[in-house]
Amino acid sequence: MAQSNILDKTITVQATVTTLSTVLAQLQGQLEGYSFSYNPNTLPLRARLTYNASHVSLEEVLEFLATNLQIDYTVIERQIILNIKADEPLLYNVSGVVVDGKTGETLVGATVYLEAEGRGTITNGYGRFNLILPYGKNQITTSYLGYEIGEDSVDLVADLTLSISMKESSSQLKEIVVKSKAQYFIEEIQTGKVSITPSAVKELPTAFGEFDVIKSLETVPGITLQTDGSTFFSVRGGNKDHNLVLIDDAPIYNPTHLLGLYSSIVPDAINSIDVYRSDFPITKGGRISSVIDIKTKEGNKYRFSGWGNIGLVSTQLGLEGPFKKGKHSYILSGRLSRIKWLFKQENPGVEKFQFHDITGKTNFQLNKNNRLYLSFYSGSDQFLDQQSGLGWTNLNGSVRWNRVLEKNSLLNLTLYGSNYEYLFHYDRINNVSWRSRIGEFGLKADFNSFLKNNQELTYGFSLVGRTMNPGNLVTENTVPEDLIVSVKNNFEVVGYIEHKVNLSKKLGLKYGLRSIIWSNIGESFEYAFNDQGQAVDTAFYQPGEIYQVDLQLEPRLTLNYFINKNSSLKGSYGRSVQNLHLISNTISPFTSFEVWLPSGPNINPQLANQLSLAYYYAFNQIGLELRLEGYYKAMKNQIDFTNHASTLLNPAIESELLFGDVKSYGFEVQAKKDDGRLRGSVSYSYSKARSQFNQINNGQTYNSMYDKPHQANLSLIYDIGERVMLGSNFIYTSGLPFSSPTSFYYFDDNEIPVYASKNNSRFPNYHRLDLNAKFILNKDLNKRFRHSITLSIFNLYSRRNPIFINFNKSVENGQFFVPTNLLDATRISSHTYIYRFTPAINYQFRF
Amino acid sequence: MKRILQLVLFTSVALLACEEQIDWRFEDRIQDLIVVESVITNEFRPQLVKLSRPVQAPNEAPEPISGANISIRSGADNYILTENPVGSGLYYSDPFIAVTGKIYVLNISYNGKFYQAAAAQPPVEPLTELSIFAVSDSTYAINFIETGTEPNYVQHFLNWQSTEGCNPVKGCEAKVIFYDLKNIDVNKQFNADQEVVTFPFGTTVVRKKFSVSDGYQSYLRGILSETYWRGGLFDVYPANAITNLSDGAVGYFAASSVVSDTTIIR
Repeated sequence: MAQSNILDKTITVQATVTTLSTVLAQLQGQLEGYSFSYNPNTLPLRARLTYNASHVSLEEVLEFLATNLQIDYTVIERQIILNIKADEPLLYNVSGVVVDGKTGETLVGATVYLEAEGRGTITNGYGRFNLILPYGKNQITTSYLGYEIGEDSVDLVADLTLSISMKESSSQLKEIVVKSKAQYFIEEIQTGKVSITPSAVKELPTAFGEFDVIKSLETVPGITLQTDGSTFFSVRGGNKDHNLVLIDDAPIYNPTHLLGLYSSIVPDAINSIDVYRSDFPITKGGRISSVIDIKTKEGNKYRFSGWGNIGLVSTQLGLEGPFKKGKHSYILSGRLSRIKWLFKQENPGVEKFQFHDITGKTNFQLNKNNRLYLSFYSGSDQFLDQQSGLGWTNLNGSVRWNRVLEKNSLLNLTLYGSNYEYLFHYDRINNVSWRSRIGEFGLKADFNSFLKNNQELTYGFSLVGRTMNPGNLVTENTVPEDLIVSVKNNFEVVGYIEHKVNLSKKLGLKYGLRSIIWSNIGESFEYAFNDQGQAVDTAFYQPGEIYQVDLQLEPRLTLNYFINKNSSLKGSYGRSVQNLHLISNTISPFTSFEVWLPSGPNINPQLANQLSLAYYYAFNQIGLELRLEGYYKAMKNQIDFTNHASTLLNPAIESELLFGDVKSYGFEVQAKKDDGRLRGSVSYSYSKARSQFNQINNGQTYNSMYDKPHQANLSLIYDIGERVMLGSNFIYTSGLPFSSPTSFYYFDDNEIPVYASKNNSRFPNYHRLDLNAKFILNKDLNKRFRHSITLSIFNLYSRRNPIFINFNKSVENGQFFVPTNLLDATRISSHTYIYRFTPAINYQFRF
Repeated sequence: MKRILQLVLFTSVALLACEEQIDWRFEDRIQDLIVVESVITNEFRPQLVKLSRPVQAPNEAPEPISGANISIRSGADNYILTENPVGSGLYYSDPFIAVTGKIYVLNISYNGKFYQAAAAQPPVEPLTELSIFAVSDSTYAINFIETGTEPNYVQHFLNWQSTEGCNPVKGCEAKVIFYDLKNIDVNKQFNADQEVVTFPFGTTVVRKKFSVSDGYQSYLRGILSETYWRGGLFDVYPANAITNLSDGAVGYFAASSVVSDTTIIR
């Protein structure tokens, strides 16, 4: 046969998951007078392929090999020469899940790394990962905080699915250098993200020993809590309503107990906490300053276990275990306050004075590729006497279906619901209450495709419907009360796509777009206002009538320049849109009477454009991460209020709103060490936030409410031995801006302050030092039942950090009061603070 | 109202919270600010407008403003006010009655600046019977009760100088105002502890009830947010009360209908 015709020769191949060498042998048998020539050291002879064809040309078969195994071929005389393509290495997809070997719990944020290649990834919110690796032997390193580093050797001859089990580290005493983890954050195409482990939350000293996820955020540079006793927080100068808190993808509107003294999210039921200050995940949106993405645990898949906490304020209990060993599991945890008795002694009229929260989740592994999760969260506060009371309830739940579509594609389908309701029992005798509510249902489909050449495509959509009652009176009358303030309904259709690609070995790019079609739907009243803010007309919209539609786009772009294994430069731009607005004109650090309103004819969506630049450095030898980030955030359509705005039961509530711009900018430095006997972080951030509203301060810019230029934090944990841990936490921030009077005048003998400008002053600078010590009570650390006691001191040196400053009180015999005898009133300046030297004890057990 | 709930909520924070006196340095005041205080009524008397400067710090005595030209006009009627005594900052008209249905315009000319405000007088609802409660065996306090359907406030002038319970060192007079603005505000519901003014048997209580227009209600709501209702758990953002005076003056010009009575506690 002529040389040129050998490629036309008809042959048959039968190969099902067969090695290349076997296929070549099959071909050789059908090629008389011709032979294959190749270098067995470079050609992927062990690579497996599936190819079944009868009576096809040799050229067709070789083209198949060229495409699928990156093999070039040439025919020279009677030899068919095979060579690996030099510029296109043979790559395989390695996907899988990382789990705790003892409980089967998926580990979110675990690093899966290829040391030799200098590349890696982290597991996503479901513990899954995907890597594209070269043919042949690869050493995969897996690391996760608090676990022993895992080494897995894989011989890649085909795409591979792995389940990597990790072993919990018995002790932090050994200095473990987590090279791979440090390196991954260097190459990650992401800015502004911080992951906090629940165990790290539990190591921090807290007020009354109540472990608190939200309050632990104050150790993150760029995030400041309003004051002591508050769970309101600001991220990079943003407002308190700019933060999206998600539990298993369902939003939670008020994650607090006891007016915000404690957050309702307890770390024991939490698997992971990811905090995004910029560069939000493309799958999440709706707020302009941060996303707090919390995933709950799935439950122990191998054995029944539990834990508990007994503190001064509350008792917690959690149970988990398998429905079917190794496959299906559940987790249920609850917390109940124990403070009613304390108040009952002083106030016999108290009927209820309690809070609780329950978190539950079930997890069904339907088969190798399908998992179903059902999760719910409920939190409630009730403070009632016989005449009146306060109460709020958060309820949310989700059903999630994780499906591996192909080896390199994932689907996460979530159906969720969320309900937040606030009740002010104005007159319990006549059953009159003020009630506000926000209810939300959503369907969300996220697709992740891992493509060749380390590309990743994320896309999906969500459909969200909401109904919002901005607060109305309700009674138990059979005839419903007329609504004073119109209920608002809206519907969102969101589509998103993001492409992550390494343009070169040095440069990574991530770009994406979220598009939101926002619509307002009746039944609803809307007011029309004139230029003076007076209502001049009303429009009524029928149930289901769409009366405003708005298309909103959120482009995102992130670049990562990989300088070397130790350092990288990152930059991101993101635009975000917020259509839900908290209407609250209070300076109180406590949560209460929140009214939420949607964007609509009278309220434009809040917008933010944020630029972020970062330099990350990894000190691999000591496992230290150094992060420097700078940002500039321009926020439009920000909301402020007319003087003494009336926000309760005001049908034309929009007339009380003012709209303006806020610009924030600053930089953050953090050095962090997560592992080892001595661990912790030190950080400093400089952050300015300036507002400009035409109607405030004569249109001049002024300090925003959350302008706290300086923030510093030092958190250190030290293991003295196997059974004793010491922790400390020092916080310093600039004082909170507020409006201080510049003079006073008298009207009908009342002394009334005059404010020359808004936010012209500040609270004193905030700082405090907390300490704790944890003692494991077991002598035998291998016992199943383990218990410990934590002693903590909050505010060690008794710094008086004010939450209020007032100028209208008198004091007599140590009692502060507002004077009412206007002929004989002497007023003083005073401040109120919450915590002094506050010791606490907390007992924990686990079995 | 809601005293128990308030007490509980305060106690819950107060378990931890502490209040203490501080020294606060106030920023320098705006020098040319003027304060106007005037409530004309349906009482036949010289109507009064007070002009003063704001004080730099609490408890200071205000500096009166002299030499202003002030008039109150209503339709064809124009009432000129004169300062009496000179230097007092107190400007009186000839006696006249403000009536419901008319609009009264206050004009002030001072130091080359012109200030103006307008007010209308709503009718007032009658006073209800004075309610008191015993604080101890020998002292009483007024039980403030919301009455009627319209916003109003009631001034209470208490005098027990001629009683055995008078202690001249502590003072034997009081002025207490009960504001009933018919509003629902969080800071009002959860305000700070207030002084309870007590008085002995034999005290004379003179009450004057004032009607309140919408604008005046808004102003009073503002000043109460800065005075009586401040210091609680849910204070509103500090701000100036919205005035009806032009050109940056503070204070208010109101017109109210008034009813009054006198009771001797027996």
